Amino acid sequence: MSVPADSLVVLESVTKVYHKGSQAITALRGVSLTVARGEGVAIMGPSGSGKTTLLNIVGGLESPSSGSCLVDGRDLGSLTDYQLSVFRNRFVGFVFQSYNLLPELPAWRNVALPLTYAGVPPRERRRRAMAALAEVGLAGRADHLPNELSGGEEQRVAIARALVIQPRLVLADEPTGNLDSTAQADVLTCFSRLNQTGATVVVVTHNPAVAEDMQRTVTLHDGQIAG
Amino acid sequence: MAPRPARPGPMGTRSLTLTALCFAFSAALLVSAFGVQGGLRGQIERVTEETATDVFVVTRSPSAPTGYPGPSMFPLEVLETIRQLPEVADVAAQGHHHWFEYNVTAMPASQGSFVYQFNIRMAMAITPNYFAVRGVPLSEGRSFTSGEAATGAPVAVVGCDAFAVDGPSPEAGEWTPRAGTSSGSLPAVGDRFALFCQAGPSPEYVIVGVLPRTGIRGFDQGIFVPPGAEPFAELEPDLVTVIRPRTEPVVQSPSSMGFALWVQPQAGRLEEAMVRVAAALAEWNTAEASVRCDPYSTGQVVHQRTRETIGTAMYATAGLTLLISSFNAAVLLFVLAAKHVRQLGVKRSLGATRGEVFLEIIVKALALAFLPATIGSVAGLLAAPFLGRAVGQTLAPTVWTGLAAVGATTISASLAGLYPAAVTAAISPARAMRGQVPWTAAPVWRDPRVVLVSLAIAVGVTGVLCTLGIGRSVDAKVAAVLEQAGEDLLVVEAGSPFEVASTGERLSVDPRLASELLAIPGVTGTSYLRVIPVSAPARGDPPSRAGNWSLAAVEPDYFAAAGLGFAAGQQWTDDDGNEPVVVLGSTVAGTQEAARRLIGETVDVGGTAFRVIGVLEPRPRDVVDPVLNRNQTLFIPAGAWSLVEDTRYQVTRHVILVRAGDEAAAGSLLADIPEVLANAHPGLQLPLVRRPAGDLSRLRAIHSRLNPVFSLIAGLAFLLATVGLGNVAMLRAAERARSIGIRRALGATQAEIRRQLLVETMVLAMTGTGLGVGGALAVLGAIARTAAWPMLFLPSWIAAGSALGLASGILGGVVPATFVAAQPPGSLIRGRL
Repeated sequence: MSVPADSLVVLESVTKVYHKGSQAITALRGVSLTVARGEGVAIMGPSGSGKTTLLNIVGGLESPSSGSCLVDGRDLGSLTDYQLSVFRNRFVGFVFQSYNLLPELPAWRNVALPLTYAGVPPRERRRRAMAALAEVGLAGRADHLPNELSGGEEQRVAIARALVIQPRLVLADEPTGNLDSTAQADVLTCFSRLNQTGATVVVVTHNPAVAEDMQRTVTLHDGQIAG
Repeated sequence: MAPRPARPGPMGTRSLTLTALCFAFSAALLVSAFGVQGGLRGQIERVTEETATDVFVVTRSPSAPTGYPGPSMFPLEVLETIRQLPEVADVAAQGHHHWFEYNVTAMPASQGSFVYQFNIRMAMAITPNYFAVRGVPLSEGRSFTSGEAATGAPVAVVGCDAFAVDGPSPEAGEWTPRAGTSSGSLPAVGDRFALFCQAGPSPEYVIVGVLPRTGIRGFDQGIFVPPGAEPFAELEPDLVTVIRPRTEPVVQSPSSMGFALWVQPQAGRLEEAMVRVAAALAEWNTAEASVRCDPYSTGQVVHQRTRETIGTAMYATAGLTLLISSFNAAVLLFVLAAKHVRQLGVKRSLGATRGEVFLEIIVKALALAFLPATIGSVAGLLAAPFLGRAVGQTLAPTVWTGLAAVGATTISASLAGLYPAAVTAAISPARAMRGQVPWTAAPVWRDPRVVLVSLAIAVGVTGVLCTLGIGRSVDAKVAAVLEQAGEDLLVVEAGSPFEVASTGERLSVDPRLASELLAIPGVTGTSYLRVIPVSAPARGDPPSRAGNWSLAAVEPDYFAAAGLGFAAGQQWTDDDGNEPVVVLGSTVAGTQEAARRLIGETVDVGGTAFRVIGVLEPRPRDVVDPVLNRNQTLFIPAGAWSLVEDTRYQVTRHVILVRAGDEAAAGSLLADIPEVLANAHPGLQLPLVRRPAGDLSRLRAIHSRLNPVFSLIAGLAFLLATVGLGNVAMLRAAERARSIGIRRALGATQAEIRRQLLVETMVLAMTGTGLGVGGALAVLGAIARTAAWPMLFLPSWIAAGSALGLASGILGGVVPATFVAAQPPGSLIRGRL
């Protein structure tokens, strides 16, 4: 398969089937998609159309049932679990709709978590986590537990956690789904800034305003790219 | 967004299955344990029936039903008459001697009175062959000798429950009078006791034999003494609350026996023997009383201690599995509460009280145990015949025992439900509505399920270490005592003085008695010890402390024979064997530093200054002398006895250590010594002869029988606890699937997740192990104090306990850790496991 030189993500005929008991549920049906380096892409579509599954496959959280997924020239299907872990740790920043912060850890430790797995020394971890929090405007909330933060603040902590490793690919799954308009604006500003620094951003969203901020919008319907 | 509630899913099912199995197993074990007891009762009844014609009892009962005050006894001479009959194999006499024992219990002042409780206690005067004729072998010691029987020596054979009297202690002054030693512990050969009535205590009796548990009250609670040694017999009935002294006329119902002859006929000649005996005693038929001969169910009582051991072990096993089941049930109830926490919140918001939530969980606990317990009980009932064959017992469980097992199991489950019910009922409705469960988000050390599973591990480790410790302690004790005492050591012991009852002559010539023993073939050496209890023997400085010390006059080889080592100084030699020198026990001397300073100082003993020449190392009581606390004793030379004789001190015990040369000679001397002394001194109150090595071999035999049972229990507990640990580890992992998924998404490798979960499980296991090691220390210490064993706990056992903990952590943790770490991160993030 020939891959354009400026492509960061290349999906080729990706199909994903889940099995629930004897029932097979097809989430993606032969999806092919290319995302260029530094591009900002919004993926839209109705619930159950396969958006999150697509994002998980690109992030190496799940493997396709068939087809291939290349990220930065690496075929994720050919990587071992260990290599996938390293890939997620060094290359991808995840932002989830429900933030997925660890409730028992204060904000700065949540942000520092990827650095822990990267083997960064504790002092350096703290320094970089604080810098990332400052970047999203939450330096003053570093020692707060997630349940002491508002939804918008939690999401910004999650973004700080994604950017602390300076990822080349940011994958966000409905990052504004639970936020009010002010918080949405803050989050979108963060993504714009990330994108401007050269990171590729793929955002799954229902929100047209988010899609408008991205350079391209891909629509999924029933597991296939509709447009 | 609030965190999703825990999803127990398959782990909940696993926990439910495990708990149900545990309850079923416990119920089955309970049925078996009840069955053992039922079987024993049945066995006794059957044997009683089978041996119903072994003996017959001859009594002289009133012809008229009431109002007859005539004599009920025969003179002992009739024994010889009956024994001469060709149809008779043997005959024994038994005289009942009853008195009332009062317990006074203080009642609340509002009731304004005291409640008097009383039991009828009895001492039975018997001929020495009584137990042989009745077919009841002694479990320890011997019956009376003919000399003791002839002189009415203050010796006794007692039933196993003779002193197991519940009630307040005489020391507290709460009641009077009371019979027995009130120790509540099992009587042992060599123990002494006195009986009490309003007039005061009886003479002190020495126990020479102990009966096994028979299930027959007359034996189990009986005190048997030689004729003439009955307590309070010389006192007037109205002076003491003693009724029916043997020499007094009593009113008897036909079925009671004030005095009885037990006749063992020749085989198959029961009826002939009854006719002949009745004819031989015809002269005792009067208008008021007639001789009766009645066949009697002897009850060929067998030694039941082994059976009791099995019964106890089965109860212990059932108890242990019930305990583990309860831990598992509590864990499961926490799981169920987490699963239904939103429903709980809804119920609370609709008006359900905490009490109603509490009750709901208790009912769940009952329901959880009831069905498995019923199934387990039925299985136990069905399996009883097979299990009985396996353990060599007759198991006789009934439907009632099955119901009892179900009841015990469900009660245990409801108790297990208290903790989760209380914690769950305390969750606020708002938190419950949000699906927030405090323990699932809590750090590991604050998770109640972790506490429960750690306790289970602790129980397992305690069990294993106790098995190890008891085994090693017994072995160490046997080895140490045998090394010090040797297989050939005999201990001859008696109260003071060795008094010839017929003449009143006091044998104050202990050296002479020791010399006589030395003359017995097989005896190679003797050493004797006199013991004098004194309250403040060592006045002056040093030592100046008063206390309950003992003064012992011993020969120099006593120290070696008793295995006593010196912390400072040395013992006396032949040269100063008549001098006023003294060796102090460790407690008398005080600290080790003080002990060294004391050498050369003098202490006042009975007005004579004794020079301290040695201080002993601390030494617990052991089988060589289980009575004397050597740490609280001052030892003086036997040759210096004259210096304190005839002072205020009175000798209470004489102990002679006899060397037999070898094990075989010691065995035969055990029987020879009483016989030789009886022949040499007719009427002498015979001393008790013990062989420590023999005592130890019995101890070792009991241990070797018990140890596999205990090992099985400990292993079972440990296994169940480990399974429980694995279950809790899986549950905790399932509850944190999302968090683990996030870590995986952020780059954690499978190995890192595996390590994280495994370390957590290991910490749980090691915490339980720490508790278990502490528990083992406490249990072994208690056992050592009770059994006067050396307290053995080697540092290597801590390593062994730690190894067990590690093994438990690995066994319980590796499967959940590997399973969870291998799940796709995407599924974990969605909370799917």
